[in-house]
Amino acid sequence: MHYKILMKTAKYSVTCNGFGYVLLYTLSLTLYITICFSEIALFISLLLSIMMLYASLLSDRLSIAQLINAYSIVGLKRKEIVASFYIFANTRVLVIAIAFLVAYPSIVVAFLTLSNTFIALVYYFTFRRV
Amino acid sequence: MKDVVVIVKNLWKYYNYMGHRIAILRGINATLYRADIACIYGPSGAGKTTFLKILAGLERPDLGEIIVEGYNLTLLDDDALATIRASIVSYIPQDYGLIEDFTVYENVELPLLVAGFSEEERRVTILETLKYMGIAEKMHTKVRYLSGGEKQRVAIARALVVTPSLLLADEPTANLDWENAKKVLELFIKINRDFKTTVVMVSHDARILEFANRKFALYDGVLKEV
Repeated sequence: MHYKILMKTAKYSVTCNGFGYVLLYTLSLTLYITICFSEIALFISLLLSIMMLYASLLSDRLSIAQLINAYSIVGLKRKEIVASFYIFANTRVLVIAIAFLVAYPSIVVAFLTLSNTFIALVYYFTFRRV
Repeated sequence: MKDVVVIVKNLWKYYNYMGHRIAILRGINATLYRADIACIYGPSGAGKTTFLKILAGLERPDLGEIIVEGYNLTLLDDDALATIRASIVSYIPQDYGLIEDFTVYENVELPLLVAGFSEEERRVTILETLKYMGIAEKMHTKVRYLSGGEKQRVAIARALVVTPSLLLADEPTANLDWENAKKVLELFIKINRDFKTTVVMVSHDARILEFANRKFALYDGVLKEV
């Protein structure tokens, strides 16, 4: 039943304050990279996106600490907690990726495929309980 | 013959502070039996929380042994300790350790998800536990909207839902007025009586000692039964 914990984590990521900032950023970014379509714009956007992701996680640090603390108390293993944090962050990565999807569909398709393959692998290796 | 739940042998724990190695726990020995209610009293900084976290497998001692229900916690790896926390030992931190944006139901559901209960089993178990704790009507309320006493009850419900052998409570009355504190302490007694759960509470408030059948004092890292 651990996928339920993953789903709860993803839902939690969406309800935290930082997600609102990510949404606003994604809207601005979509405008920016569609209007200023160039390699430099792509490079700057990627850099800004990493900073935005970090900032959004930083703004939710108390919520993340609460989540990790609660998961640790109820007996989730360390690698499961790490996977949960990954899901928390990746929910926002996927939203930011929408902006790139609009401007650079081919790059984003590759990015999403890789990202979700990685999630599947993490899920498979982490949430098996013997 | 009494059933032993916890054995602590010569437990030492050090912290590094400003380049100095300070012993926070100094050779603690204790044995707790099934259905004991143990209160550990001591001033702030005496090592109470550290001791409780070591019992919960959240921290490791530098020396000594802890055996809980036959499992030597000092020999177990982190994953095994997590499994112990999911089934045998429940820990209630001073700040309750709840996720404030989750509802009461979602918070109490977490240990059952880890334990692999089905949806129907979870629903029935949570409902029973919340009724037992007297907070069933708050089931769909987010924890951030609850009072301190209610949050404490939710934290106890989450700890109790997997019927652990050992229940550890860190300063369970610290954030409550004495009237609410008494209600919470009576709840621990009720849990102890109904489920034969061994309860360990730590506090700097000496008034909680009257609720225990085993009384300990922890001063400067040394534990003594009083």
